[in-house]
Amino acid sequence: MMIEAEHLFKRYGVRLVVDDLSLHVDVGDVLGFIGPNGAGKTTTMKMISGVMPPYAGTVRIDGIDIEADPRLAKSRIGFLPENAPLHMTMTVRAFLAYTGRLHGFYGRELARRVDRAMERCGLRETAGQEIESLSKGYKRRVCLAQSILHDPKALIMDEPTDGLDPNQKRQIRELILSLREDTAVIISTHILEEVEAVCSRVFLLCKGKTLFDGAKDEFRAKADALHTDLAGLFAVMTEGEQT
Amino acid sequence: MFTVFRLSMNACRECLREPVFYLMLLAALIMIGLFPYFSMFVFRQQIRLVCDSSMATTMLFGLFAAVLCSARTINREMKNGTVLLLMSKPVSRFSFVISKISGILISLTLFVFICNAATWLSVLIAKDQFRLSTPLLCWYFGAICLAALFGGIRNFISQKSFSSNAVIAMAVLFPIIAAVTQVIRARTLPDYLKADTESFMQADVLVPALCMLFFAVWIMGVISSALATRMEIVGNLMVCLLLFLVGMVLHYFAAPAFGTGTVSALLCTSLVPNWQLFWMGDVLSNRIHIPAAYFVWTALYSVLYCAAWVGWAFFLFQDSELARDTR
Repeated sequence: MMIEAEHLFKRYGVRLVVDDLSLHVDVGDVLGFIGPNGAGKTTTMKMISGVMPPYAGTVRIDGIDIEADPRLAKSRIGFLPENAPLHMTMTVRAFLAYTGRLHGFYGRELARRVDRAMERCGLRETAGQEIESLSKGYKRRVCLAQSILHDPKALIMDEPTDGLDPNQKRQIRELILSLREDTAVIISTHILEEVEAVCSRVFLLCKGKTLFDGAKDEFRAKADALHTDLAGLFAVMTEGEQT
Repeated sequence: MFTVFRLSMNACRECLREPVFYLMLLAALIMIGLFPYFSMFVFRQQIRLVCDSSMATTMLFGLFAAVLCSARTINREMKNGTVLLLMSKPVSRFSFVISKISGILISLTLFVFICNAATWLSVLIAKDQFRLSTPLLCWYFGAICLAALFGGIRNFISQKSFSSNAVIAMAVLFPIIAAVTQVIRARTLPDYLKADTESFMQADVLVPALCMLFFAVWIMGVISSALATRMEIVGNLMVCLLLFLVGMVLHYFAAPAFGTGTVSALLCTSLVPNWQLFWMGDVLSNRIHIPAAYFVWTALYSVLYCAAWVGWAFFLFQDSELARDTR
């Protein structure tokens, strides 16, 4: 199993935001991590990617405990944070080279990886441009490029297509589908259309608790049984929990 | 190790790219350049006044630069979420803190270095109490304009940062002009004027005194960096200013108030940095050579104080919630 999270808990002060969450994602899977705002999706993403330590529980990437050996575990993770935070004064190429060096790539190997990441994310023409001058869609592509530059085995994406136009959304989704062959992918989103388009599995979270973890077809079957669509099922499951 | 180096260099570049860093430096340099003019007709106290005012300017502007650099590179990075990118790479929190602090210290070192070179030039401009060295004054302000021109050209042609290029140009121009002028002045000045403490400042007296300012600004840089892991710029500036003001006077009041050698006095004077240790105004006015032992002990004090605050910064950053605004 590429990504294993067991019994994760997270507290902000006295507030429990993630409550006994366990999930498993293997290579070839694209897990749609869905839930209403404030469900604990971003917090879980941060814990799985090693950015934030859990209050309790373990995260293993490719069998490596992220608490025990964070450097090795993180070298196998590609993380696309929400809102694509970037160093705005750098050029696209300089930024990608900078993140590549943090992964330990230098010289020709670094140049090759930067070129390939730019090629895959359609950034060739903007290589010399300052990130600040790019559109929102291109900024997100730069952020995506840094997350795949080192060929991660686990790719964790927080709202990857948020705010993009339909064409850009389609391109990003195609890229995600092309990556799934040799990568375990988790996509945190509240866009159910995205789950329908790229995910093979669904994980529904509400108030930090797991409401559903299974194949997309199972989730759809559940919706069919209630004579509703995915959005309808999402509403039924989460509204009941929220009230 | 390479990761820390890369992150440090990036933090330093970020500081130098900040327009506010350039503006702070520019304001400090203009003030230092004008001090010889303001201290004319002061009854043979001109060099002393220029030294005191310039060193005070370097210290105060260094403090502001330290707070601004740390707030821009650490606090902003934590708020806008770029810290998430770094933390998701094979980078530990300790490496992040160390590299950010060292990046900020490198940029502050450059800041103090340029201000010190300007102070040296300013002392040379103050020829005597009735005259200024006008050609040198022109060179001084010419260097500022030339640096700005260089930054502007680099920005226009290569889209490189104006601020960082202008700062680097100043870091090259000021020491060269100061060193060349000092050599010429030392060779051409008659011996009786060289011996006159109001006409000529020996480099071996001035340079160690100016070097002490590095320690002061480094300490302030580390303190503000530690505070930036939890505080916004205004809060950080307030605390640093308070520490600066209290640190200036506390050691005069701690012993009478708590008794000499008592635990309370020791605790008080250990927690707040003693800025008086780095202030060499009196030494310069009396043309005394700073003893090597004093220099070494002050350096050791600075290193230990900085190390304590690095530990404190790591402790504050360890459990801090990253990228609050991106949630």
